[in-house]
Amino acid sequence: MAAAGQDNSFRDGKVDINADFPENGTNNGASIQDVDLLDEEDDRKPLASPGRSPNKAIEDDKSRSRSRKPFHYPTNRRTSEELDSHSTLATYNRYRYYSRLAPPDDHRMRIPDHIVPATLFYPPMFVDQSGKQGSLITIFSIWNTMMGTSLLSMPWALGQAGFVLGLVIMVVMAGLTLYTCYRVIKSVEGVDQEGEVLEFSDVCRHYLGRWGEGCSVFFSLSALLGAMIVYWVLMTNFLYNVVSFAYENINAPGNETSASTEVLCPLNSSYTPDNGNLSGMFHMATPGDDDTFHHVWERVKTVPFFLVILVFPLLNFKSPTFFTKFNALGTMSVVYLVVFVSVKASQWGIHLDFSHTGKDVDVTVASVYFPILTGTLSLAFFIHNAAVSICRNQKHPENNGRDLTIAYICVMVTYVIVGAVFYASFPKDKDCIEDNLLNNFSNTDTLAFVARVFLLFQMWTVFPLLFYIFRLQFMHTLFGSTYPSLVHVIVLNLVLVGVCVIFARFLPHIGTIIRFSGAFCGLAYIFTLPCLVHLVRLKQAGRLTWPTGVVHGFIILLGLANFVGQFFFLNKT
Amino acid sequence: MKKKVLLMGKSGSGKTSMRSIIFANYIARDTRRLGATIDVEHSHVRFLGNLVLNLWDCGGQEAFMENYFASQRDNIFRNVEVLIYVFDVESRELEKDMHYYQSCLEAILQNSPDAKIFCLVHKMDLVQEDQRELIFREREEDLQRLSKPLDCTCFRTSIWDETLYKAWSSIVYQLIPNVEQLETNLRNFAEVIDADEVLLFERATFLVISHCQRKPHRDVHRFEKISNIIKQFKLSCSKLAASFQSMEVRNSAFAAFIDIFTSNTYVMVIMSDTSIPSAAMLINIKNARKHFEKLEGYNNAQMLLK
Repeated sequence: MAAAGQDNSFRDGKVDINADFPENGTNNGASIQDVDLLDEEDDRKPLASPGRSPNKAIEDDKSRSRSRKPFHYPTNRRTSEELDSHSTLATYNRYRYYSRLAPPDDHRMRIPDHIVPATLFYPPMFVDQSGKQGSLITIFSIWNTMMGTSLLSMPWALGQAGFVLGLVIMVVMAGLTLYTCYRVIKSVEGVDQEGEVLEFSDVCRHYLGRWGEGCSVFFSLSALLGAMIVYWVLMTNFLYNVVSFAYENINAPGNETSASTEVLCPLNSSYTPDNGNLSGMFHMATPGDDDTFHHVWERVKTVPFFLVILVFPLLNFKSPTFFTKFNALGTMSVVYLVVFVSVKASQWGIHLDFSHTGKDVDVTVASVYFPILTGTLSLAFFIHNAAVSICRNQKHPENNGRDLTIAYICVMVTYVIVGAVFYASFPKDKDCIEDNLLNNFSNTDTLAFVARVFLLFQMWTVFPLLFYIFRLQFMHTLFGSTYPSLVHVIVLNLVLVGVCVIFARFLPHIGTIIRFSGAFCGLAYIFTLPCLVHLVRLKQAGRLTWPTGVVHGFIILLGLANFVGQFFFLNKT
Repeated sequence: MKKKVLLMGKSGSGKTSMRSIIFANYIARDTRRLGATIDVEHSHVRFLGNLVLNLWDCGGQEAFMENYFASQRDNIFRNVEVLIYVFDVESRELEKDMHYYQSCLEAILQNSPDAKIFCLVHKMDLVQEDQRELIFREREEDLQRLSKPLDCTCFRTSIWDETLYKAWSSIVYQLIPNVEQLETNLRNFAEVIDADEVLLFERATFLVISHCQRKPHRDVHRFEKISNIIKQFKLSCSKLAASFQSMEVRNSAFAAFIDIFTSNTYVMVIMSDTSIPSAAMLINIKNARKHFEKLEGYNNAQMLLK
C-alpha cells in the first residue's frame, strides 16, 4: 500500500517522472498545498501497518473522514440521485485537482464564476431576505396602497346594491379577496428559490407557463390603465370645479355661500345636452357670462385637453423617485375624506327609512344591481400585484397571513365608514348619490372645495407614478428593456394619454370605469390566477382533493360571473 | 529517434494549462510576460511509452519569435506522430488563426505527412450552453475544409467540464495500435475474474485507454474523477521523490485495485465481491500482466516495423 506523504516540506530540484520545470517546486503557493496535505497529515499512521487489522484501520479512517470531508463529498451512501449532483461533484473534483497545479494567484487555474455551482453564490445569510419591516408598517403599507379612488364611489356603489345587501357583500368580498391575496403570497413563498426576487408573474410562469405570466402582466396592466383613466376623469372634474370656483369668485365675489349644508342632486338639475354636464354642477354664473369662459372651460369637452398640458411634461421622466416623495399625500387625502364624511354625516344626521313610511328617505335594502358593487369592490380590494413586494420585507414572514387579515379588516372598515355612513346620512333621495361623492356638493362648499384641491394635487403627483409603472411593465414585457428609446416612450405616453382623454371626453363616469376594470382585472388576478396556481401546486405535490378543487373552481366561476354581470347594467352610469 | 506529439496553438489559447492538467505538471509561471512558450528543451514528458510532448506557441508572437520559429521549422515538424492544434473559441482573429493553422499543416505535409491531426476548440465554457454545439459544428466544418488533403478530427473542450478529458482519451485511443485486440483481451480478463469493471489507463496521464464495464454505474464522470484523484496523489508522492506504484481501496461495498500493468499502462479492477482476499486479486493481476505485456511487445514490434 502506498503511504501518503506526511512531510510538509517541498523537495524540489529532484527529477521525477512528471515534474517538468525543476524550479517549480518552490513556487507553489503554500496555502493550497497545505490545505490538501492537512488531510493526509492526520493519517500519521499508515493505513495498514503490521499488527493493526485492516478492518480497524478502515473504521478509524471512516470516522476521521466523516468529520473532515466537505459536506457534499459522498463518504456515506447518501442517495443524491440527480444527475446534477454528479456533475457538481465532478466540478469539485476538478477544482481540487487544478488548485494543486498552480499557485492561488494564477488566474489560469482559478475556477471561473460561471462554473461555480449557483448555490454557492448565496450563503444562507443572504438568502434570508427578511428586512426590518415590522408588522405595523406592513399593515399600514397594505392599507395605504389599497386605499384609492374607489373611496369616492363607495356610497354610490353601496346604494346600487341596497343598504343591507351591500354591507353583506362588502364583508363577503373582503373575505374572498383576502383569501386569494393570501394564496398569492403563499404561492411566491413556495417558488422562492436561490434568493431570486420573485413576483407573482414569475410564479405564474413557473406553474402555468408563459401564457400564465403573460396573463398576469396583461391583467395587471389593465387594472393600472383603469386606475389611470379614473384619475384622469377625476382630475378633470376637480380641475374644472376648482378653476370655475376661482373664476366665479374673481368675477362675482360675495355671491357664494360657504359651508353650506346644501346637497346637490345633479340628476335633477337642469343641464343642456351640448354642455355635456351629465352629472355636472350648476354654476351660479349669470347667463350673460357664459359665453367665453364657460365655452372654453367645459368639464367634459375641453378640460380633459387642458389637463394634458399640466400632466404631460411630468410623464416623460425616466425615474419617478421624485414623485414617490408625495406618497404621504395619499394617506392624508384618505384621512381627510373620512373626516369629511364624518363631519357631513354629523351635520345631516341619519336619514334612513326602512319601512317606506315616507317620513324619511327611502332605503333600498337589497337590489338586483348588486354586481355593480361587486365590480367596484374588485378594484377597491385589489392589491394582489403589490402584495408580494410589500410583504417581502417583513421581519417575521410567518405573520404575513395575520397582518394581511388585519390590513384587509382595516380597509373594509374604512370603506364601510365612508360608504355606509355617507349613504345612511344622505338627506336627499338616495338615488342622487353620485359615483363621485364630491359631485353632490356645490363648488362653493368649503370642505368639498378643500377636498377637491387636495385630491387634485395628490392625483397630479401620483399619476406620473402610475404611468411609470405601466410603462415599466409594458416595455419590459414587450421589448425587454425599460427604456427602449425616447420614441417608444413618447409614443406610449401619447397613446395612454389619448385613451385617458377619450374616456374623460366621452365616458366620464368613474363608477362605470371602476367596476368594469375591477371586474375585468379581478377576473384574472383576484379570482382565476391565484386559484389556478394553488390548484396546480397542489396537483404537483399530489395533494389535490376533490373538495379543494371544487371550492376553487367555484371561486373562479364567481370571478367570471362578476365580470359578465357588469355587462347587464350598461345603462346605469 | 523519439516520435513527437506537437501541442500547438496561438499564445494564450490554453495549451500550457491543458498540458499541466493532463500530465499533472505544476504549471509554469504565466509565460505571457516572458514571451512565448518554448519548451522543447525541457520536455521530460513521455507519453504512451515512446512519444514526447512538445509545446509550441504558433502565431501571434513578436517578430523575433516568428523568425526563430521559421528557422527551426523543419526541426520542429520532423518525426511528428500527432499534431494537436488548439483554437481559442473566443478569439477575435479567426482569419489569422486559420492562417497559422494552415502554415502548420503545410509544414506537416512536408515533414511528417503521416501524422494524425487533431483540432481542439478550447475554452468552450465561455460560450453559452445552448450555443456550444452550433458554434462547434461551424468551426469543425471550416477546419475540415481547410485541412484537406489531410484529415483532422475536431473536439470541443473546456478544462472545466468533462470534454477535455474525453477529447484526450479519444486521441490516446486512436494512438494505441491494435486497440480492439486490447479491448477483447480486457473483456476476457474481466469476465475471468468476475470483476464489476476493469479499466486500462495510460501511465503518464491516467487517460482511460479502454474499459470493460460489467455492472452499470450511475456516475458518468467517474473516469475523470479517478484520474484526477490519482494525479493529485502522484503530485503528493513526487514531493518525496517517491513514485506511485499501486493502490488498494476497500470498503464494505467494494474493493478496488490500481496497479502497474504494462510499461505504458495501469490497470484498475473493481470488485463488488469483497470476500475475495487481496492476495488472490494481486496474483490474478500479475498473471494477466504477463499476457498483456506479450501483447504490447507484439504491438511495439509492429510499430517499429512501420
